Amino acid sequence: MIVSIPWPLLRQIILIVGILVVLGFVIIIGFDRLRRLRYEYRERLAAVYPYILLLAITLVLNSFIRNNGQGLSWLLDIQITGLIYSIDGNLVATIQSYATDELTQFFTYIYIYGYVFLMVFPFFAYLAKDEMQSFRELMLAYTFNYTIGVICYILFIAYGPRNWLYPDVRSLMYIHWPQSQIITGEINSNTNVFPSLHSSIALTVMLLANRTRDTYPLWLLVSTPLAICVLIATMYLGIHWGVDVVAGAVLAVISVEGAKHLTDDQGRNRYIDGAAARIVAALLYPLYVAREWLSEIRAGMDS
Amino acid sequence: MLGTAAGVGATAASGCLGLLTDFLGGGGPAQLSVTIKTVPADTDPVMTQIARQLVNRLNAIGVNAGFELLSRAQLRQDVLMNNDYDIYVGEFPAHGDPDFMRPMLHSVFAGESGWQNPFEYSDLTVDEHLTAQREQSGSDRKLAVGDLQRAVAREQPIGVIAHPEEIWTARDDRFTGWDEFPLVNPLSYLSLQTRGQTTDRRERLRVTTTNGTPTGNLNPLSAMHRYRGTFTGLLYDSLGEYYDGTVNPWLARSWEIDTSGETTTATVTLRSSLRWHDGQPLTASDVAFTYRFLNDTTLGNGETAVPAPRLRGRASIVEETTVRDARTVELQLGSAARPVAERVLTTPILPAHIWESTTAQASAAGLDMTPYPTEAIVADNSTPVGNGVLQFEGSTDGESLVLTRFDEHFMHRNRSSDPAERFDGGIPFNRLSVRIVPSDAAAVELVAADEVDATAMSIAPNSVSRVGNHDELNLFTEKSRTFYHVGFNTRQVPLGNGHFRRLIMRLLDKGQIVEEALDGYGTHGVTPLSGTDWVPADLTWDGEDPQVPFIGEDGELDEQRAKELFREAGFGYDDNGRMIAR
Repeated sequence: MIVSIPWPLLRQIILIVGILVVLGFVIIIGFDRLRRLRYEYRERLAAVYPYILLLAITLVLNSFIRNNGQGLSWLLDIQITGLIYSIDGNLVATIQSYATDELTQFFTYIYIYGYVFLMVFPFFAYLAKDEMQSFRELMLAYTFNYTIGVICYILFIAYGPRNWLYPDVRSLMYIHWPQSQIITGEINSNTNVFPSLHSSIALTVMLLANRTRDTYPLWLLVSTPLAICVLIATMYLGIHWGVDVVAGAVLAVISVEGAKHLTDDQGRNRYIDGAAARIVAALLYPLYVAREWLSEIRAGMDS
Repeated sequence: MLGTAAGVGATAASGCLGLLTDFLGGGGPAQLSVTIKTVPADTDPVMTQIARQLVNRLNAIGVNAGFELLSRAQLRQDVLMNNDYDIYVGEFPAHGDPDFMRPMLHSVFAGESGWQNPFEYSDLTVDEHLTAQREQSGSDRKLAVGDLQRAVAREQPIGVIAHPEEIWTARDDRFTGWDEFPLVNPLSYLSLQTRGQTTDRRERLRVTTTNGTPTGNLNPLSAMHRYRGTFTGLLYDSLGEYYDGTVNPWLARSWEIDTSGETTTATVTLRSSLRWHDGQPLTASDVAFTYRFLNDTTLGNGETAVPAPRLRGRASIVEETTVRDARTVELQLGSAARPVAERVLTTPILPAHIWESTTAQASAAGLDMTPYPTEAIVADNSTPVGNGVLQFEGSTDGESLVLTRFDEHFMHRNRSSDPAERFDGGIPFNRLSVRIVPSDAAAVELVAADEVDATAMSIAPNSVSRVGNHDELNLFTEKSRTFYHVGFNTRQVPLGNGHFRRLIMRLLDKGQIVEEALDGYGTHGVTPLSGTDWVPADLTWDGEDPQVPFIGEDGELDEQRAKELFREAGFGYDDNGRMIAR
């Protein structure tokens, strides 16, 4: 994996998104909450770690399945690009007919930096909230997105418009910025366009921003246009069909509703809390035993 | 616009949906349906573009044409192994000698898997010409090859569209000699020199390609996973190598071809003390084994012979092998004349001690070939033991491949008065690292960023301008023998009908394709040999195809005229302008 990651580009993403997040700290989260977060972050992380763990496990499984599930996809051989195209028609080609260099530049930045910022910022914003319900919902909603998304990727073979409608639709981002192709993991996954996970994550963030608008009114104002730009970018750049974006929107609603459904009014789910506690206990138990054993030896040596 | 609108409806109605609408439609005559398979634009934009155009135009003239994109390996599996296709758009790995057309189209190969007659085509006239060209040489052969091309251009079992140029780019600050051979040819790596006065080898040559297959599969017999076989070509040497217009001795020190008797015999003498990468000696028995094995990978243990899906065409000439001594082998080549006999010697030689245990019946998910494949055919061979100038060191699936210089190779030992002295000094580096990238554009950028030295594959014409953006990059082009084509499964109705195939080919404007999709980097294809001296005057491109001229002008299809021609050929239409399946 390490061989093919273009580090300069990754550094650039970290730098730019980092700056955006810091701006968000100041403007959206505010100093009062940040000060409280500074004192309480340990307690808060301790309260939400089961949900972070759940998402982390999902992401690891997700990347494993995406890298190794291609063979299974071809065996199932459910090809839906023709069906998608019959609904979508020339929507993306029409959108691309308005392309200019400036727009391409803009939507490329939106697709890369805007999207990453949109996805990452709520982690901090919701950790800085006084209650942890929003944070837990965020973790669960992301988990739903990635789980359902990867199931669709294995189930369906769908090529994006840049592959199906060439040369009427072109891969604008990769023409202007080929390095980005390496980092977006395009190597084995150009059959994974249904649904658009970019769209579903962006809309999930937007829907959750609406739920937290009393705390962060500004975040709703920022995330809504940004999410809409991400949706347009996926089509403008020739990566996704309109149908993928709609499916992404449906996935976002399912994910947010699913997250609400699975949690109580504090955002807790006792099964997730219980399972996480067991996992952590299982991981820590050997350390505990070792410590007991060491202290016994030490005691023995003292006497 | 009309074509596009028709395309939308028709695509929805393909497959099961089509059956359903026909059923609901009250049992009127069914519309003719075909599916066109090819690879996505990420893999080869030219193929996607040709296929897309064909689909739109078929829909425009009332055929229900579906479009299916498949990965490179999946397309080859469907077309070459499973015979599961109607029409495909692909590229054919042709060679310098016209005998490649014999396995491609002769009816005796119709039942075989792999590159052998995937069209399931059988025509007595074509068969006769194919046999004749094998048996003749000189001007007689030229006449026979001309007749063969006339028959093929008339029948269009395979519609040749264009011979694209090989396009590659390299930076010359560490190595020079990039222009000797295209980098898809293994010999190109032997032609490189380190830059400057130094004769020292460099530590590493870094190349990049968009084809990730060699990182997980290095089986020289696999038609699904091999196209040109650049890296397997570096790993496995053959008795002779084709360069400078002839087959030159390679693993063989020399050979004698005797065409005077009833059957042609080639007596081949190997170089002394040849070795496999694992240290085992390479002997005449390995040569005899290879030809037997390629013709039947069960080595006679199966109920029927299971020929190799790749390399079989050349091996099929060999009727019998006799090992005279450790360095001498005699090959019985039937009625083959000298040029065809020499081509047999360009087959890679395999180590008997590795492959003789792969004769058992095997299966692979998704592979549906008859007779059943052997282990040899489905094997990954991901840690190959070869005899070539480079040996396998390691690979990471989908990411990278590393080969190292094989110091025991005859090219790398002290030699005197060698027949292959053109490549004196052998490989000028210790390691070859191959990095996989997602697109041609990314490949070019990696060369520009000095992360690699060259592109190991041919880049698409739409990435050429990118090379021009960087002063330090050199662009190389060379005519290639491979060709873009439309392949027809002649077993399917009505694709067995020559009139139908000809009319389908006449829906495509080859002139426009060469100009636009290939951006001028190619020559128009009339026959599989277009662009060579083998083409008779009446089959040369003259502003249009002499056999299947485009129905229309300047890339615009004359739909009414096309429909008329189909009608005249006996293809009826219903009241809604849909072509009826018969």
